[in-house]
Amino acid sequence: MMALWRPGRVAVAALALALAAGGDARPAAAHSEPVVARVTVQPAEPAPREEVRVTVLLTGERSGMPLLGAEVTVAGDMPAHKMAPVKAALLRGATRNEHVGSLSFTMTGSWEVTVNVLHQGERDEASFDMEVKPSTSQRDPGPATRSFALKFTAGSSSYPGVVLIGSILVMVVTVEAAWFNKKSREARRRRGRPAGSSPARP
Amino acid sequence: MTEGIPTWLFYTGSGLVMTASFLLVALYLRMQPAAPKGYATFDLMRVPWLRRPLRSAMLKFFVRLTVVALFVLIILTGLYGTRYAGANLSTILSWTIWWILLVLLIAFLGKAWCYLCPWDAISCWAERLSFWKVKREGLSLNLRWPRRLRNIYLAVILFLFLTWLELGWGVTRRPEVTAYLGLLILFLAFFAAFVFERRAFCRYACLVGRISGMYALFSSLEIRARDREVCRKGCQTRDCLHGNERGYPCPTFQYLGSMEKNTYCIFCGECLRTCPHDNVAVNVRFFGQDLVKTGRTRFDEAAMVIVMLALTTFHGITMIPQWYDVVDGLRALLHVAYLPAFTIGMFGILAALVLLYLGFIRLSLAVVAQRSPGFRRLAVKYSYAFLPIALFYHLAHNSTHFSVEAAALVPALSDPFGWGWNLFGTANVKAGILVPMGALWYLQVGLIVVGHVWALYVAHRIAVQEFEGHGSTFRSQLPMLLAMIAYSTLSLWITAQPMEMRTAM
Repeated sequence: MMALWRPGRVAVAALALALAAGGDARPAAAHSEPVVARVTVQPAEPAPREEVRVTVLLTGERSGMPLLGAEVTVAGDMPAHKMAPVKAALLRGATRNEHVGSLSFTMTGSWEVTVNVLHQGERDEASFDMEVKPSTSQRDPGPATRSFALKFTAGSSSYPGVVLIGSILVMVVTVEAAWFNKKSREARRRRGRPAGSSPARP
Repeated sequence: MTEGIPTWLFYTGSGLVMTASFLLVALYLRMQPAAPKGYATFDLMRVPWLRRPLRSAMLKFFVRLTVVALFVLIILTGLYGTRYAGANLSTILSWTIWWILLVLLIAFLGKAWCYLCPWDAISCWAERLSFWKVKREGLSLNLRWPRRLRNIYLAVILFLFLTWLELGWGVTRRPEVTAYLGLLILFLAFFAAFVFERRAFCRYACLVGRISGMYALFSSLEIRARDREVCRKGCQTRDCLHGNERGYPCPTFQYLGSMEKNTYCIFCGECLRTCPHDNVAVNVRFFGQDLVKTGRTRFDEAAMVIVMLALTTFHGITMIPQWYDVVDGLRALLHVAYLPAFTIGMFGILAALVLLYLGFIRLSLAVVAQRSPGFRRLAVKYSYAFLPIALFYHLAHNSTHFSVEAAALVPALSDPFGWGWNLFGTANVKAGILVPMGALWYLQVGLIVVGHVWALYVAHRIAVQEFEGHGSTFRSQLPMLLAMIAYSTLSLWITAQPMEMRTAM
């Protein structure tokens, strides 16, 4: 290993390594980006008492990175009728950022559906209207998907590359400094030796 | 929230603690005090197929390389992965797997973690510029560790700081802070290796090493001289202490001729390589042997034990719902934010537990008529008796964590960064409980009772050493008996409360 260790050369190699590791292989926005809730309902236009399957997928807006660990509830309300809303807590679906459950609306008319997301103590919600039609009428079987921007951000720490590059560089500079210190000590020792004596072993 | 043990089991456990205590006291009353005898060991170095790997520096390098690779993965996932701790490999691997299994590892294999330690591995490789070959001169300035710091108070302070970070600041729920913490410890070990002689950081300051050092007094594995007379009379060179061409000198300044406890041995295996007399044994022994020896005790070690005892309990307290009432009460009373209230609560509980311990020591001295060994000496000596209680409560507490949280490793292995990968097809496996809660409850109560009984035994041995006469020995133990019953009952009560998990799964 000593043969490989040459001052300067190692520093350049370490810097290249640090840049490769610390530099961003993923899109810059992936470090911290807004989260989007993709809400799918099926059927799109249900009848009263019909089970409506609700799927909420939480992902980063640009990279599609999953938002993990959220708790999602949905509620349907008819504010004009002053009636109790219908509610459901969604369970985890096929993937860890997919939340599924079902709602059942009690009467025909225009309902306001609210998706409530709780993530690491913070809460945000998005609402949309849904038409509940009589079972005898022509209805859209769906599915219908809507996207909503939430206030959460998905991603990692703010400056991971800087932390990583900084850490590696600090350690390399320490080793370099210690190496120079050792070499200069050895050189001083050699200079102090009487002429004709054998050089000190490395 | 995880369900605590049922009320009936709490009362059964408390009853067992009481019964065991009074049975042991009755037994000690009948017995004549006797000096501890030697104990049976089995030397692994006598097993031909184990001898070579135990001595191999190259094998150690490859084992450490694997652990360093995992450490790098923890740093990368912590820095780049999802901020959700329950799906980030860094938090799961660090706090749910490593930190929890570490205590179990120490109980059985002593300081085995130090053999694997990635912080020490990286520091050693960089300082020596060698992976396994022995080099007499490294790059270190080889300064002596400051005289005032030649104790383990620095490790005690770091332990308090880590606990504050973990519970107050919520490091276990913050992958990026977990990575920063890993890097911070690496820097401490790294710079210490380049400035100070040998592995001074491991010897004096490493909180993991010092905690495991105290718990390792209980462990069933030890490295010792086979025959100490060979070291003292037959060995002139003391290669275990000074090193030779086959291995480095002991990194923590231990001399096998006088080493009698696991505390400062870091299982590096250098003495196995350097000893010219083949006089080093890796012994399997029965648990807890170092605790009943009449060896030297130190004030800084006692401080570490009492802090470990108090922090282990505090750890449990912070996970029960009543803790939030305490913090909210402090916030309302003092008009401060969460973190100052948490800090006041933390140091308040620690101070209360330490004062309670000292109060019981004072009581222990008060009930003995004869000339006492002194308050300070007895406080130091008896602290070691509480190690089994701390260790077994720690194991009981960790068993729930591990059972409830460890399965999160399965999806995290497939998706270590939480980016939506599915490397091994397990990314969407739903994490479940490993051990049924019913079985876990019995295990927890069993562990606490065993720790209590062991502590009573160690306290008895200490009393026999410190007091003269059967009556004084017996009376001095009674306050300790009360303290241990109180402590074990408190441990049982904490396990009976619903508990909030650490990585928010």
